[in-house]
Amino acid sequence: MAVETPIDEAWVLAAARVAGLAIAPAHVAGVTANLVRIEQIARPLNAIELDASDEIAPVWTP
Amino acid sequence: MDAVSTISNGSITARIENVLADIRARDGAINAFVDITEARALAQARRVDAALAAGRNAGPLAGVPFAVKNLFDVKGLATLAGSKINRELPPAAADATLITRLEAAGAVLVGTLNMDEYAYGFSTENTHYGATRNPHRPEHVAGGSSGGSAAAIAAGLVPLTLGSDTNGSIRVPSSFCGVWGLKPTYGRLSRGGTFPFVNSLDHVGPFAQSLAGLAAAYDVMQGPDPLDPACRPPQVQFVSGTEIKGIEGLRIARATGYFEDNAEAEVVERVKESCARIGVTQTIEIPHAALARAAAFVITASESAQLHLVNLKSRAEDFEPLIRDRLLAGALIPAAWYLQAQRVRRWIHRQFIDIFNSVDVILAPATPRPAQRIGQETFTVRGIEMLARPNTGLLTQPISCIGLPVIAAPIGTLDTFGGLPVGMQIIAAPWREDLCFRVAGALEHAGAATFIPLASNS
Repeated sequence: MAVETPIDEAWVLAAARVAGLAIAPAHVAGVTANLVRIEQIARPLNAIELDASDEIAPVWTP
Repeated sequence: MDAVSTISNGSITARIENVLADIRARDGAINAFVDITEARALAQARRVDAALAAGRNAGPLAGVPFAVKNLFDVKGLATLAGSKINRELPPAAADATLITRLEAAGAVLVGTLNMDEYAYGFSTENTHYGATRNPHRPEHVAGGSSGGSAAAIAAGLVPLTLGSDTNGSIRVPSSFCGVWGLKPTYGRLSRGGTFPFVNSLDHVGPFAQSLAGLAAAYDVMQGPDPLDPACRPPQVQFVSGTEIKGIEGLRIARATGYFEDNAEAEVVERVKESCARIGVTQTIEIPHAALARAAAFVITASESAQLHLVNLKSRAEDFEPLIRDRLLAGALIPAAWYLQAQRVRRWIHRQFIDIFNSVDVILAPATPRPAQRIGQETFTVRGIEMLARPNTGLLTQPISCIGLPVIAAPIGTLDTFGGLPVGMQIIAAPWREDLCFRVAGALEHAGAATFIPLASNS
């Protein structure tokens, strides 16, 4: 699940367009830095192989 | 005198008038309060006085003044949640559930308290309403996001407050301000009538000047609530009095590994000293603490951004500058990361719970170090410089990720950090807040944990 393309400002702006977010030029660098940090933190999570019994929490109760 | 006790002599109204005057006189230097609900407080005080004069039971918290983090709905006020945007909300039509329950017990709401915007912070440095200052050292933060809640207790303005804790927002300010705090089991106390941050992780709970006061407040707030679908406790579990039951038969261990590596040596030593005072020698390593923290971090970033997405799209400039870029980044997190984080959380939970087959209570530092200065961007932990604000929750996030109950106990001050307070987490298995209170009581009885009053030169 590793991000194949490194997160940079171009990636952020492209993802923002898909999400319908307009990021002001003054904030692009800060948003990029934060997303890079999140990706670094998420990397060990994304490396864990889980099986089908590891359900998403919380479990929906109708 | 126990600050949270039935006041049986004197006029409640006169006492509340004094509390309100004290807040007006002294809060300016601390900036804990955002709104003071004077008319409401005096009306409640008069009702309590009337009940007592008529010989009626006015409740176990009769006349006790309290205040709430301003993400709790207070009827007639817009629920600010530390934000500028929420000023435009209509006034709340009803009080939050926990306010209703505290007032039914006779307590008197005197105001609302400052916080990090939308609870997304550990320092209560709020551009819209100003930073809340640590009453022990005013140039230092009070912690967050429930900074006002902790600072108001530390300064002696009120003996009881309410806050919330998603990743550490009760435990961090408790530690930084030297007061008692309780983050109960996820789902124990109702979040009904509170502005959310991260629904998967949000908890609410009390701060108090005394352990007995913490227990008394917790007891009157318990019970299921249809307004909060997550609030489905197995049963009400009154804890008042359990803090004097002692710890005989309890298996208690101090957390090592991650919980030593990510705290300054002086903090770890103080925790060790506290453990020694109650005869705790066993240690334990909590598996996957770093992964639990990572899962909480990703879940928080994603859910909080989604909650505010409409406003992020239309008025990003109105958000707190310290969190705006974090929220925008969170809105771009791939769904696969978020879903993986939730599944890893479930995976870690199984192993975390297994620990409680061999131990009943775990003790760990609450924060890597005492409070940093207001405006400080980085701090050093074990010689490693890191961003201060997001890393203040390094030791709290793994625990709240799993939803375990925690009492944050004030365990003294550290001379090497200018006499600033430091706190310890008392952690138990889900729904075992009673064990947290028993261990807290033992620490208090041994002189290892107590509310830290302000020094005479503060």
